[in-house]
Amino acid sequence: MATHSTNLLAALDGIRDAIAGYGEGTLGIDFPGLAIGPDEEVLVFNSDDRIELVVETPTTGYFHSTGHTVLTDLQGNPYPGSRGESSLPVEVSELLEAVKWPPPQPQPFNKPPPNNENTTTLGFAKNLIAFPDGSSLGTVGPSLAKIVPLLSGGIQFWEASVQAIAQATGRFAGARGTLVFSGSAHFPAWPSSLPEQLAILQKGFPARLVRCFKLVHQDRLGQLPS
Amino acid sequence: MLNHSTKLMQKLMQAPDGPKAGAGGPAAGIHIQYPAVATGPYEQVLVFSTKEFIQLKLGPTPYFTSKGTIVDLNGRDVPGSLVATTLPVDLSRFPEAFQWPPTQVPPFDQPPIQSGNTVPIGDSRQAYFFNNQADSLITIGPAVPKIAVPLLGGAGQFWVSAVGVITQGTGKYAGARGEQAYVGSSFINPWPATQEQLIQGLTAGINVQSTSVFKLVLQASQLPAPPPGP
Repeated sequence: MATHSTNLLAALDGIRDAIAGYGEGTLGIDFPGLAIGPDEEVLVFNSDDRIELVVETPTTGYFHSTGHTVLTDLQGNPYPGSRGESSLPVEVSELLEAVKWPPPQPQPFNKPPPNNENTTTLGFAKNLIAFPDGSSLGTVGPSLAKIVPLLSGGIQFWEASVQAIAQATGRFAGARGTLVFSGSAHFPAWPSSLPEQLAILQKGFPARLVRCFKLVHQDRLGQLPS
Repeated sequence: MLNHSTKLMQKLMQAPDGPKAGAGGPAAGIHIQYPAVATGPYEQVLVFSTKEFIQLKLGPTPYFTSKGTIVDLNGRDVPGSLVATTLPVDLSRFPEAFQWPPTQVPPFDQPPIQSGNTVPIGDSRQAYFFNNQADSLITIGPAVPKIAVPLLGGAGQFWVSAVGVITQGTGKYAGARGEQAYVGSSFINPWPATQEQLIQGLTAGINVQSTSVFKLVLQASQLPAPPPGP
């Protein structure tokens, strides 16, 4: 969404923001300053999703996107023509685990042992991110959910994930790399019973995921082992 | 009095103003908070990078250990910041880092998931300090390494990504709850010919640049946790 500058300094603001990846009207998702080495590309962006839970059996189901995903930059400016798809099979019991938090860690923080209590209930998700030029990145990897009750009566629901590129198309065809994201949803009210909670999740809810890809394009790769 | 060209240069070098770019970073002009992509009225979103030096320490339980500093997404140092991490590893599982997951069956918004070669190899603990250590966030969670090798020219790109659950915090983050997603990478040139040489190189240490995304709710917005049982 281009804007017209009203004076020279405003125009300079726009140039600076464009260079920096900031600002209204700037779809800054490429952050070359965060790459290490000459071959890496770093993409950082948000996606506005709508997610719903499909309950398949009394104990299993899956979360999935509902076809409304739009990518945005970190200022919330939409990336027209983009889309995303995701699915995450879950055990219903994982919801109960998500309210449990890991214990405080002992110092020093840069030496073992880490205490992984309440961080081992993992699901595995797959994601597809498609850009306006038709290029896409498909990824898969483990996810971990956490929930905190809010003073207001609702909850904040987080799902973070680390994923490896499984396939890609267009300018990303053959790329290797990883995706991480931290996603969240806010529920202004949250019932106490599990059936009522599942009912809310089945109706669908908005979620936002901030994502980071670090990848190397195929044309920078040598002969990979089979 | 500044001349016009000096003013123009200052304008170009000036960081974006606070409200537009999501101000609230630890110092003027440095931005790690992104309120435009927060979810709901209570969430804070922090996105930043780190520059770390990581070493593999050998012993009965080998582990990676790092120290470094925090920079914003434009590479500007966050003053008074520090990062320290550890990741114990089973070196016999290191070859899994070279294996990539299978092609997934579309559509992506429906199962099944073929999760091969994405099982975490360990748990990463990460500590981030801001404002001369007055504020901190500590996380723990599963980590997955991946390596793309060889690159043209014989180098290798080494990624470690992790989910982090906040375990504790200090200062303004005391009692905060939330999650972090982290991906760090290193460019190793040339890529060693043998695993022994690789381990030797990792023991000497490598430079890593990471990106972290925190989503959190401060303690003041949380329902107080019930007291621990007997």
